[in-house]
Amino acid sequence: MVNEKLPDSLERFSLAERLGHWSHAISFIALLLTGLALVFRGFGAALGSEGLKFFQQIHHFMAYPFTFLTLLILAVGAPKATVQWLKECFTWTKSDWSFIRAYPASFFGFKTVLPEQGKYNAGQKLNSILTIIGFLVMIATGWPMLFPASFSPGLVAWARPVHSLGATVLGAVLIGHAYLAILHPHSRESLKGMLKGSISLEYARVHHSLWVKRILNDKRPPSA
Amino acid sequence: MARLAMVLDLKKCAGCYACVVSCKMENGTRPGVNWNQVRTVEWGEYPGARQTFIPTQCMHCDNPPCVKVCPTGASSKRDDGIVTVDYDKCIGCRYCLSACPYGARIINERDITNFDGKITPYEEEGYRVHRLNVVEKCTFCIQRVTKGKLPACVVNCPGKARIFGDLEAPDSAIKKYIEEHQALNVKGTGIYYVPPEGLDLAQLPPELREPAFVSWWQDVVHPVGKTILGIAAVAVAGSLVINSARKGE
Repeated sequence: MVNEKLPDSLERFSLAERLGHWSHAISFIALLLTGLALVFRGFGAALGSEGLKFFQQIHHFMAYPFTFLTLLILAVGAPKATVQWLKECFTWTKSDWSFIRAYPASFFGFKTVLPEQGKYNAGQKLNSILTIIGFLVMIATGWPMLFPASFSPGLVAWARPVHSLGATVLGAVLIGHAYLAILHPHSRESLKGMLKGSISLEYARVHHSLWVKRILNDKRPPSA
Repeated sequence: MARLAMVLDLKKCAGCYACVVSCKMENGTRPGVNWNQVRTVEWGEYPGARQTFIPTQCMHCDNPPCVKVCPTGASSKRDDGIVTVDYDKCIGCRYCLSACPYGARIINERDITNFDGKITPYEEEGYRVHRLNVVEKCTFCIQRVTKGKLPACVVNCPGKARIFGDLEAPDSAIKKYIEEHQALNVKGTGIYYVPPEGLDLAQLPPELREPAFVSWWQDVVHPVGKTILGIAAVAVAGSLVINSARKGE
């Protein structure tokens, strides 16, 4: 019998997955900050016209990496993992729903028992779904505003409020997402997964126990 | 206070386009950029067929939707009623182009001149003011009006179909004209028409109604969006405070 040695850490995201995440993150944050100035007059006025014009140029430029770069990285570098991620995100089990119900108490620091989770917990799934839908809404409303001559005037007009609303919803999602990954005492270790690519076995066992069980079982040679 | 306004007496308009030409001359707009237009309307059958001309332009609305959506304050409503665009502040975002119900605004992005590869001294002068990539429209010839002169289209109208003035001035000539000729106000705007007999009034520009997307955007999405962002920030701050307080326990 082979003496099994458990790894200290588990690989969570490949280099391509991480690059895809960060290309989306950086372009989105740039778009959000420059876009808010183009929507809320107080912010725009504080910049002055020249500043706002510059923000507008950044906003238009960043539309390209936001729309295409992440998709390209994921399609070329991690097609299988991306499909797997999408599959998991859109598969909701009973334990996902009970996680969502129980999580708010944990978020505010109260003790709760959270159901066991797979590679992505229900909150991460929700974040992924909102990000994907938001991405589609933002590009569907953003490009018509950038090339108004190619679209109907009615579509261009209604793209403006929808784009603004989508931006604020995604901004709120980002605030929660970044806080949980960087500062929240329970989950901030997860940031390592997106930076180095791996997380400690200990953290994975507490937060993603079903995933840990699955990959350790896969690695173990089937006993005769 | 003042309320500058214009009457367009369609009974007197001969459709000569002198207003369109004089506007271009006075304001030095680029080829293809017209701040006012003349629309031809025909109705009836021979021998009773009729034709009239309807000049259109910026309506200088009471509550202009273009001003409401402008993110920089470049579009504004002056105390005298004129809606202006400050070219220094305009970033060419086109929000006002979508918001104007009358299609009175235009953004010129094409660097075209009247003669290929040449620029006349007249154009040089005009294009210094009318830059590319900013939004333009009729200003009631603000450069003339503020000096006590009449707009170019009014002065140059051979039929005297255009009457310009201040509705709130004592002994206002335009007000008298409106009463005498029963001019119809396009509600919510500073433009009046004297329609000829038989003209379907639906052919005139409709009364001002703010486009639905403008109200949704400015009155719903803006406050809702700020609230959503605020709730997320408060939740994070609350979590941060509670978690660090518990850590100390």
